Amino acid sequence: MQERLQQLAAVIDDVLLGKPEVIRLSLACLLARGHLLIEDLPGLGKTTLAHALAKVLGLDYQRVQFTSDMLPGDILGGAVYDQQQASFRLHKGPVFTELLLADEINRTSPKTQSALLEAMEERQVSLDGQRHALPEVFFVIATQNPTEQYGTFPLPESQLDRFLMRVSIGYPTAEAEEQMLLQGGAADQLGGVQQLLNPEQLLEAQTLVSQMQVSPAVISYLQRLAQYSRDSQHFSLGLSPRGSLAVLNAAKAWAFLEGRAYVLPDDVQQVFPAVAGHRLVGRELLHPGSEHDPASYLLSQVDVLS
Amino acid sequence: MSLFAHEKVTPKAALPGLAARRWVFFSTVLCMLPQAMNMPVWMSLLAGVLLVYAGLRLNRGIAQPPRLLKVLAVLVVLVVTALSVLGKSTLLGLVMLLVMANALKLLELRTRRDVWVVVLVNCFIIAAAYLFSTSMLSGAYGVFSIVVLLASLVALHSESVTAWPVRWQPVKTAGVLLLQALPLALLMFLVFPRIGPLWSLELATPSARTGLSDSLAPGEISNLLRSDEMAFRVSFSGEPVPESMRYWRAMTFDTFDGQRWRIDGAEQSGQLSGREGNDYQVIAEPAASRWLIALTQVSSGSRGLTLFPDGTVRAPEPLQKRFTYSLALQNETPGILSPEDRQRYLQVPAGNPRARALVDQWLAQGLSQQQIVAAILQQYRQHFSYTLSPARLQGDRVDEFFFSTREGFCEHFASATGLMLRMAGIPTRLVGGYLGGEWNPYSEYLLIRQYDAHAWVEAWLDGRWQRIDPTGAVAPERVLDGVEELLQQSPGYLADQPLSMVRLEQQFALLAELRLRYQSLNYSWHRWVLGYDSRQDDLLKNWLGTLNYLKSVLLVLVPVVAVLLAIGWWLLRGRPRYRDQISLDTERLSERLSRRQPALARAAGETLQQYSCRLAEALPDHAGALGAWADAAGQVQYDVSSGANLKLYKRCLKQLNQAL
Repeated sequence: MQERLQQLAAVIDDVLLGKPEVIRLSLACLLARGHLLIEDLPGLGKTTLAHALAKVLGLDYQRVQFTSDMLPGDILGGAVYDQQQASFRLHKGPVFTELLLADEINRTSPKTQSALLEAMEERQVSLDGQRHALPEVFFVIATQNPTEQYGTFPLPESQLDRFLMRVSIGYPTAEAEEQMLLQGGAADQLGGVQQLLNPEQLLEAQTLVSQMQVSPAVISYLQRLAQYSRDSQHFSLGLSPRGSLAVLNAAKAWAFLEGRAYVLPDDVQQVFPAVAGHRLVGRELLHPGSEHDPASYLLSQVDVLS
Repeated sequence: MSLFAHEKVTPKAALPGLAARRWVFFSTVLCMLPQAMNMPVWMSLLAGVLLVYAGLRLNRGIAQPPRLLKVLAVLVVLVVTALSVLGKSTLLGLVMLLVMANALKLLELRTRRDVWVVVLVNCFIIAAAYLFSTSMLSGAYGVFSIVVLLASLVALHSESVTAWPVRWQPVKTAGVLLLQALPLALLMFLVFPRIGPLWSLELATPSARTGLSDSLAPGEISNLLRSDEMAFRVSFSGEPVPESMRYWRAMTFDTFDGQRWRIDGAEQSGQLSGREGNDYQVIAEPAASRWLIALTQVSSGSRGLTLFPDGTVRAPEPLQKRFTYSLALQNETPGILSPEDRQRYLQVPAGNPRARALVDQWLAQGLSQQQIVAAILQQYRQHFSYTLSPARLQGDRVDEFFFSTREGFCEHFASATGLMLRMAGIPTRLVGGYLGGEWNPYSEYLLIRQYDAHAWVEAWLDGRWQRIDPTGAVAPERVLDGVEELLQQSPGYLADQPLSMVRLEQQFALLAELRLRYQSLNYSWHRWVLGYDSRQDDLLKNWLGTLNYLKSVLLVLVPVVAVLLAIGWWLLRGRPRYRDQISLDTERLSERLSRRQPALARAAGETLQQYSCRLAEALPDHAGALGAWADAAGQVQYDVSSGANLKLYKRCLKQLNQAL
């Protein structure tokens, strides 16, 4: 299984060049049954990543471009009147899919945002008083454009919490970009991507990840990380219990991807910035993205060994 | 950005900054400076050379001197110390060794840990300085150097101290810290019992060279007259006794062999109990003997003093340090002289026929005892002169003095008088001690110097011992004005000290005034700070009733320990109590490697794997062992499913330790 996953990562790596870290993180996010938020400028490969993931895993894929006039129904669907049968028929929205790419989620109104986020959390949608379960594999990749803030509704901290990870892809390296230009863009490459894992296998992997045992030493490390973020004067918002649980799950998935049956503190450290970065709020000196972003500062302060 | 830099590195391994290094150097020089007075000159020079070298190194960088040079320096220091200590006190040698070792340690100052060692040793050196001098000045200097020493510690731990010459912030912080510690220090000073040293310090105290000796021959006290060293200081609880009464008895001589007066019947008669004896207090300067002075015959005074039947007291042991005691004034009451004592005090050696003839003549004339005393004094008054440089005596000394030379000072007169009175059948003894003293009006105490030494006679008349001072007959001004006035023109007086303060003062009045002021302050220092030991007993007794050592030790220790425990609990309560084996091993490894190279210490956020990879890069020879150890450690620590292989881990650790 792990070999298959390594292979899978390598295939996506061929499409999205020079970003193995992001690819691994997204895979880990998927394995931990979380959702991914990509904060990035347009044109850096968010769609490519989502598309490649969907193809490799053989997932049903939908893409929604969020706009400010969008209503919850545009995402979730609703009852539609069928003139021929003279009755209401349920129209399932784009959320009823296995992999949803929610582009520029901060462009739409909070109402629409929260409809999506609720569906992500509950993994089900209520329409007309009826509950409709979403597919068992349900993975949302949402994107945000951090620079153009005019007329947007940035997600509040409580909503950010719904995403297991927040990553940014960033510009490619010179080498990768040249190769991409030579190959004529990702779209061509996507065509040749084969399905490597079926949904059953993905579900099995997810189950294996969630069942992975974790040693008390790692648990204590996680707890100390959370405790430090709560006690330290450098943080105005510490890590919530949900946050530390998220770190644990992501670390398990990372260890799984590494082909290990147990979690090391190294796994925790690998996923920590992506998982905790958007859940921590630092004071003055710890602006996210600066040299001392809150997550790495926390990692440097807390002793790994008890 | 260095904002968090000091938080990331473990403090033990971090390099001290330039400012901190300069602070440490400066404070070390300060602490070592007073020791130069105790060490031989060449030792001081060697230490100076080491310090200059260390200073230059510290100023430029902190690279170590070559190993060979270090070994050489240690050897030289050891040899030089051994050579200069040979035949002197071991304690001095140990102190010198400490001082030199500290100078050497300064040479290899690399990490904070080293600085801590140097600071700690400096504390010992400051304390050791008090073995040699306890004057007010050295006390003040000690406080000053402690403040600077603490300031260097503050500078070491404060990143903001980067400037040199100094911002005064470290000194300020150090001062505040010391002030906070003051209450505890005062409490300890007041109530902590003074337990005598468990070993005896055989430091040669300078004052031990001079003083009264335990036999007396005419001509000896004149040695003391050449010295203006302090001998005793006395203060009175009530009115001071009048000047003409200030005869300080130290010892009595009962045996005369024709040349020297000696003490034979020196059986001690008991210990003083410490009750009702506080008419006057005496601070005795260090000396080689146990003599103490008293105004009258003693019957009560400070506890622990040894009492003798002639009414003199001695200290329990030689006065290696200043000794404080108090005594009661005693009215001389008629007593009984036992037949043995009478015989002892009448013992007369053979010889001196002319003196015997004169006394026999007086007896034949039927003179009473009082009349014989008067007759002798009359002779002195008419035919004798007082001088500090008399002619030397030979043969029958009393005859020669009484009938030929007819000049001398107190010993000559006392000796001759004593013998002649014995010939006349009057029990007589010679008394050695001091006469007079200088009154300090500011602190109201009497300063007795060595040149106040005096000898006189006590005769058993009318059923009690009566003082007869024949010197008063020939030179009444010696008794009334003190030796100073009398001897100003005499060539023997202070002959060894041409620049003696006493001489200068005779010309400058202001100097005398200043001296009296300084002595007054110094007296208070001795009385209240150094001599507090003797007062403490009474103080504690007043507060707490009778105490023994155990009780008072407990009394101080129990609350202090309780407070410390409470503080410790408070500080440690948040810490995890349990550390697992692997964390401990890793910590040990990190500490060990950081000694080799500070950068090899593990950072807090470094996992075992990251740390071992970093180490493997720095120490490529041991990469294999490091990797194996980290893997095994990771499995033991984190792999729950497959079960820990402790044996493998231990083997890896052992191999790693051996490899390193």
